[in-house]
This record gives sequence, C-alpha cells and structure tokens, in this order.
Amino acid sequence: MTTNRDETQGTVKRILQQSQAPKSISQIRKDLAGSFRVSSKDLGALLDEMTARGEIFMWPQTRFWDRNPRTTVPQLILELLAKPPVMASSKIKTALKLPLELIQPALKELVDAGRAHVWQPGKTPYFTLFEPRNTALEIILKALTQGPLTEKELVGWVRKRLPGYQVRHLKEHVSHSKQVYEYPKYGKVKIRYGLEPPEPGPYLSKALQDIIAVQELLVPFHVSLEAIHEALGRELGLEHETSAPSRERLQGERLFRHAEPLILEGITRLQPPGQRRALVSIRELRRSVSLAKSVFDKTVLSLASQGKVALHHHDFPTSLSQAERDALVQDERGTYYVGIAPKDMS
Amino acid sequence: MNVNSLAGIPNPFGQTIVKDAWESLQDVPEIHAQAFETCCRAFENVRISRHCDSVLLHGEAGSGKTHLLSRLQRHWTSSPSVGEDGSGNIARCVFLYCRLQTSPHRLWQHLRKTFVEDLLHRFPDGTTQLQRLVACRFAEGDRNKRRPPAMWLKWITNPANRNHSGWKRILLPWLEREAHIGFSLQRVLCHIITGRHILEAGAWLKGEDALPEEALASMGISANEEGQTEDGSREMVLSLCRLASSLMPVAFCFDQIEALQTSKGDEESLFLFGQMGASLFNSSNNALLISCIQSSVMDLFERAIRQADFDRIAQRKERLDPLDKRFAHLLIRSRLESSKELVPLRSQHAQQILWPIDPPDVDPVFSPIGTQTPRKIISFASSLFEKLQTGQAAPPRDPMEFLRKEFERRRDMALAQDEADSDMSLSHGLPLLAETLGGQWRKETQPDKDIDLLLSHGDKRVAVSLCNQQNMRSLAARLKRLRDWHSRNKETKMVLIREGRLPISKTAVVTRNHLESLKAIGVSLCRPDADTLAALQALRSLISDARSGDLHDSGEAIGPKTVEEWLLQNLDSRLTTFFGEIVGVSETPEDTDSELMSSLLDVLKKHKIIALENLAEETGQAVLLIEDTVKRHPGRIGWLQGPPAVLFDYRPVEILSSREEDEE
Repeated sequence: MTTNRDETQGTVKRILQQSQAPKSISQIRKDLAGSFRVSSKDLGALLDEMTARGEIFMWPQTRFWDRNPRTTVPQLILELLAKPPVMASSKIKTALKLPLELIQPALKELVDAGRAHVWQPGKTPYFTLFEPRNTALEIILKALTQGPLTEKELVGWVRKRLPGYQVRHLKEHVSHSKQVYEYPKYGKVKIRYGLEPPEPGPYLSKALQDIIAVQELLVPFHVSLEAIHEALGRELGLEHETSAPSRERLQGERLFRHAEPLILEGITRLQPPGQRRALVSIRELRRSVSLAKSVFDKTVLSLASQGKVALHHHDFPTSLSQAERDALVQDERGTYYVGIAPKDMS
Repeated sequence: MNVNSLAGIPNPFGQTIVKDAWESLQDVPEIHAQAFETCCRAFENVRISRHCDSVLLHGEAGSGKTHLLSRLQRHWTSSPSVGEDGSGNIARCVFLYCRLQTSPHRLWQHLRKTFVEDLLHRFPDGTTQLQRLVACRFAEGDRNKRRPPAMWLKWITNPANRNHSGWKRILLPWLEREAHIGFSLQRVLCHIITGRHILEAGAWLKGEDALPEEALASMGISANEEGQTEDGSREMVLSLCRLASSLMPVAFCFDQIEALQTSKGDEESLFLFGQMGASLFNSSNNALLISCIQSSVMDLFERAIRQADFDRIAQRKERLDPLDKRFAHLLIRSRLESSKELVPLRSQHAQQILWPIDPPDVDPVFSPIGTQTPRKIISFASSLFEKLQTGQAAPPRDPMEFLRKEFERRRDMALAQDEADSDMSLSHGLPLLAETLGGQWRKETQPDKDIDLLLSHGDKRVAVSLCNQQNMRSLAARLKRLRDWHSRNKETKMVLIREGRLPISKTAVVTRNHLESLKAIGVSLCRPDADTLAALQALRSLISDARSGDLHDSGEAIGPKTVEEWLLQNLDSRLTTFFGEIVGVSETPEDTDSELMSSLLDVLKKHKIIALENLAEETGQAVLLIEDTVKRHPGRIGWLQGPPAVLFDYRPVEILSSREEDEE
C-alpha cells in the first residue's frame, strides 16, 4: 500500500511540474485516471500532506501547483505586460484568473524593484514595462522626425501607447527634453513642436501681406520685390548673406558631422595593418562606407580642405568610362580624386 | 620691382621633369621626408636582418617619385664619411635605377642591361659602382682590417696595379667561393675590374650578342648559342646580386611601373613585374626593392598581381602627397636660391623670401583642397617668373603643336640609335603600334618565348618574331625553333622582323638555309628601315611618357588619349605601312581583288584617313557593306572603332613605291 501511495505522490508531482497553471483536485484526479484510481477525498488528503511538507503549493480556489505563488505571480505579470503597452490591475486579474490579493502585492513588488512602472493619467493606475516619460519622449521624437507637429497631433501619437495622455503630460515631458523645440504661438499660428529651430516663414504671413501691399502701392514707380527685399535687408541691418543657418544647411552639417568619422574609420579599416601611410582607393572606400554620393564626395573634399586627409588625383580621367569616373570624387575645378589617406597631423 | 633686372636670367623653374635618379637636382629635404625615412629604414633593415625588404612608393604624376629616388641615390652612393686615412664608407649600396619603359616580356633583359650600366656608372671621382663594390667586399674580407674600403679603392683604380699578382690571390677566389658565379662571368668581371677589355666585357655583361669571335676569345670565353633569353638574364642579374653583401646591399629602384602596360587595363604586364619583383626578393638576401607607381594605377596593380608577389614588393607602402602652401614656398624658394644670377638681386630683398615672386601670386595654383603636385607648382612658378621677365603672360599652349614637335624631336634623336637598341624598341613598340593602329586586331597571350607578338582577328592569326640577333649562331638557333613552332601551328601566319641595317652574313650558311626554308613555307621577312624604327621609337616613348604622366607641356599633363588621337590624325605613313606589312600576311592577293575593294582603296589613296560615313558617301556604297568588307580584310585596311569609326590604308602607295625603288 505504501508503495502505491508513494507512486501516486510521484505522479502528482510530475503532473503539476508539467502543468502551465495551477490545477484543481478534479483536474488532477482526471490526469491520474490512466494510472491510478484515487477518490477525491483521498487525493485531497494527499495534496494537503504534500502542501504541508512544502512539496507543492496551494493556489487560490483550492488549486495546486508545484510553484510558489509569491515568486511565480510577478513573473506571470511581467510576461503578461510584455504584450500590450499598459494594463490596469483589474485586467491583469482577469487575464491571470487570480485574486487581487495575490496580484496587488506582486505588482507593488515589481514597481518597487523598478521592473514595472505605473502610468496614472487619471484615477485608474496602469502598469507598464516601460518608463512612461521615456516612452512618451521616444514617441514624440520619432513623430517629429517627419516635421513639426501641433500639440493635438503629438498627443494623438502618444495616446496610442499611453492611454489617457494629455497636453499637460506633453508639456511636462517636453520640458525635460533638450531635443524638442516648442514653437511659440503668434497670431493665428498655433503652438507647435519640432526638432529644429522654427522656420520664420509661418510667422511672417502678416508681414508678407504688408510687403505685398507696399509693393502694389509702389508698382507705378517700378519698385520691384527685389528692391523691397534689399531695402528690408538694409533696414534690418543685414549683410547680403544671412548669418542664420537654414534648415537645409543645418541638416547638411549634421550629415557631414556624422559622415566624417565614418570615412576616417573606413580609411583605417581598409589600410593594411600597421600601414598608416598606405593610400586607400576612393572606389573601395565609397563601397565600404555606404554613404549617399553627394554626402561622401562633399565630406571627402571637406576633410581634405581641413588638412585631415591627403587626396591623390587621377591624371587622365578622360580615359575612364563615366561609371568609373562617378566612382571617384570630383572637386569644383573638375579634378577627379582616386586615392585618399589620413594626413600626418605632426 | 625692377622687372628689367630679371631679363636674361635663366628661368630657375625651367626643369619640371627629373629624367632619372642619377640626375642631381636642387633638393628640399623637408618634402617627402617621411617617404625618404621609410626607404632608409628598409635599407637599414636589409643590412641588419640580412633579409630583403621592399617599399612601394605611390603618388600622382609629378609628385616627385623620381626626385625622391634621386635623393636616395645621393644619400646612399655619396661618401661623406671617408676619413683622411681612407677609413669609413665609400658607398653604402649598389644603386640601380630601372625605368620600366620596356616590353613586359623582356623585363629581365632590360633589368640586366640597366644593372650593368649602373654598375659601370662613373662617379665624379672617376670610380665606378663596381669598383666601389669590389673595394668594399675586399675590405669586408680583410680579416686584419689593415685596409679600409677607400684604400682598397685606391689600389684597385691605380693603373700601375693592373698586372699585380695580388689580383689572382684575392679576386678569383672571392668570385668563385663567395659569389658562386659561373666561369664566363668570373672571367668577364675580372677583365672589367682590372680594366681590361672594358668595352667588350661591358657589352657581354649587358647581353649584347654582336661580339666577334676574336673578342670572346680574347676574354677567354665562348659564345652562347641561345642568345639572350629571359632565363639567362635572370640568372645574370641574380649572379650580379651575389657580388654584393648584406653590408653593401643592392637597391633596385623601379620607376614607372605603369609604363609597362601595352594597353589601357593591361594586367599581364603588371603581373609579370610582380613575378620579377618576387623572384628578386626570394632569390637574394641583400636586395632592397623600391617600386614607384602612379596612384591611379594602384587599384589595378593590386588586382593584377598575385597577393604573395604584392606582399613581397610592398613590405612597406609609402605615398607622396601633393604639397601644401608651406612646402610649395620651400620648393619655390629653393629653386630661386639655386640661381647664381639671382643671388645679388635677391640679397637686396632679404625680407621677401620668394622675391621676385609675390607669395599671393602663387595661390591660384592650389586646388580647391589647398594642395598641388610639385611639378605643377614649379611649372606655375615658371610662368610667373616668365611674366616678370617679359611683362606678358605666356602665350596659350597648343598641345597638338607640342606633340608634333616632340614626335619630331624624339624621332630625330632615335635616328642616332644603333642597331643593338632596335630590338628593345621593336619589342616594346610593336604592341603599342598594334594598340594604336590595329583597331581590329586583338593581342593574344604570348604562346612561345620565340613569338614576341600574336595578333588575331576572327580565325586569322599572325605571329610576329623579332630576329635581331647579331650573332649568326643565335639567329640560326632561333630560326630553327621558329620552324618547329610553325610546323605545329600551320594555321598561323608568321612574320619575322629583322632590323633593316642588320646584315645576314654570306658565310652564315645554316642561318640562310633556315631562313629560306621558312620563307618557302610562307613565312614573311620584314626589314624595317632606320626611319621606320625611329618613328616607332618616338611613338613608344611618347605613349609611355604619357601613361606615366611624364609628358608635359609647360606643366600641363598630356594624356595617352590625346597622344593616340594626335598619332591618328598625323598618321606616320611609315608606321602604317610597317604595321600593314605585318598584318597584310593574313591576306591573299585574290582577297583584295574585288570591285568594291578597288573603289575603297581608290578613295583611301586620296585621303589619309576617312570616316566610315564619308567613305560610304564617296563610294556610293552602304555603310554596312563597307564595314563588312573592311572587316574581312583586316590586313589591308585599317579600322579604328571611334566613334566615329575611321578607316585608312595600311599601305599608302607613295611609301610602297619608294621602297620598291630602294630595293631596285
């Protein structure tokens, strides 16, 4: 008899080990049916004994598992939160089919340990794996790469990930970011956000109307728009070339700043080890760094002008096909460069 | 500034090209100092490690590669450390400068000739490199160190010691035991070192085979029936290398690797150079290889040669960068200071370092990136100086006129060339001529060592063999091998080329018999005259210089394409005829005996060169029909693809008739 009881215990243990969730007495009895014939009463007593010995654990609603609810529930919650961006505790309760008494301490434990975060835009707290402010900022920056957006547009973007997100949250989050510019409201121009300083254009619509009116007024005197433009420049105390960098220029400068180290690293990579003075083929370098042709060419010429690299030209580019010439770098005088190497900075 | 004071002073910027590394020029050591240091380190490494080392120098045309070699030459061959007692070094190496304007299939022969010429190079003190080398080796072997190299050199060069019994005790054992060189070479070196039969011994060393039996007998050696071969020349070069030691290594300086190419994108010649370099590297322990190549050919060079060969040739790589403003000013200043006539004038303007040139006037020469090659800087400074002298800007240049004059100058110079040099002109020049005029003909890989050029067009093949041996035994041996080759390759037409001035002796019965039997089986013999060879030499030197970036009209580089275009527009009828005689063997008289061909040739008689469209118009025939006809007669009518496609007669009547008259 003793042997039979031991075997039953072993089989129960195996059943619970293989199970993905706690099981009720009837479920366990059903699983045992193929091997052993045990009454519900005897099985209940056996499970109580095993629980008392700490071999298995009792879960709510008289269910049993070989895992400890205290350590297992947080893990179950983390797995659950990995799918939707945020979840209220009631939803977690429903999904895990566990009582709140077990869920809430586990959630508190996870939040305290920094493994889960609370997002509470109103009365109901939501739980998420991601830090809400960082998540919101990430969404904001991604949305703004397309161009400036209004408050409403940005809030709409963030709400998809953080339900209940509002303008006040946006203002708070943006104030922590040094990458996002808040464009001021002016006349009919609403507040907008962008990654670049604002373009003056939208703010000048009223001034533009005035200028057009002035020009129409002065048409009989053959005053052109160019003349008005020049006069404005003079009145504003400007030189011919404005010192304010255009958006394109800023974008270009950023691209070049990014391309310069890429090209310098590419040269070093293509030089044989220890041969710092070996010339690198421009064609090979172009293939190796995968930059747009215009960016590559301008950066190479800029590096040469700064004295950071030496360029070697091709004497007879006319002997090359157009495709071969395109693979080289051409300067404004039409010289084609075929080789590049870092310059000695001594 | 008194402009007139400059009138009559030779322009110190007149020379923009360094012809070879033996030339001594005004030098600015700060320029390319790093590359110089690298070469010196490699040199010291050979001496210390007793292993070969190598440096691959690359730079743009006019970047100063040859100039740097010249600096190295002075550094290694000058004798600054000789004491009054004769102690110290008299030289540090055997310096060789080899400009690679040669046929890639005769690289070793070219190197052999250069090696010997440079061994016999005479320094201002009257001693040769060979004598210095021998003196150093004797001093090395002098265990008691009683005589330093300079004293040995004095003893060697003293005519009174020519018959000294000491020679036998020292020289022969050294040549035999230490240098491990063969009998004939030992004898010849003995003569040359002791100052006997210098001309004959020098010619023999260089591989010239025209030495009469008596000359050979006087040197105590016999003739080599095989004549000069690549293998023989390789052996000779390696033997000569063994004369040197790791304390006195051989510095091989190869310049203008790109000049070896017989066509754009020609990889075979670069491959052959790689093999030669690696062979030198592997077969000796006292060689330093310095190879110079244009930056624009580096990519192709690396692709064309075996990686293992490249690793041997380019143990170290160095680049010669274009100069920035600081170095440019140093360069200009150095040239100005070198002019004796300018010294008194410049002393009155001590504060203006570039006087009479105003530094801001130099700025336009720099490219947008702020650098420029030394050659262009010098050339620009030359025009500035000329303007200061005359008050006028230099007249605009006409590259076509420049090329006309250059071609004529080079052709006239080549007329003075003797028969012995013709073979090299032909071996290098023929492939270039085929590239320029033989638009329809493809160059095939050399099928045999006796076939110098193999051309093909569809199923037509023409094999060209140069038979310029002056020694009749060598010539007979070659003709015999050619007959064997032809019997195995009967479908290939064969043309033998022998320099017109080289006779075939009446007593050379065997040679004549071989020649007659070859003619009997349809082999042609072509005997280009001195004028044709001079034109070929001019063509090959112009194209080679253009490929190396060394063809300059006042600092403006003239590229190979421009040269080829000029050559085409100014077809030298001797060259077209010469090429026509070669490829013409692929035609039979009946081939050209058609009405259409006659009308085409009639038009071509009138025009030197004519576009296909115009020819069609003038003959009233369809373009496609003419194209088809001409392409079926590639040995009669020259076709250059263009665009536009142009045609010319390979055998202009006036040349043929004048030749016929000559023959009569």
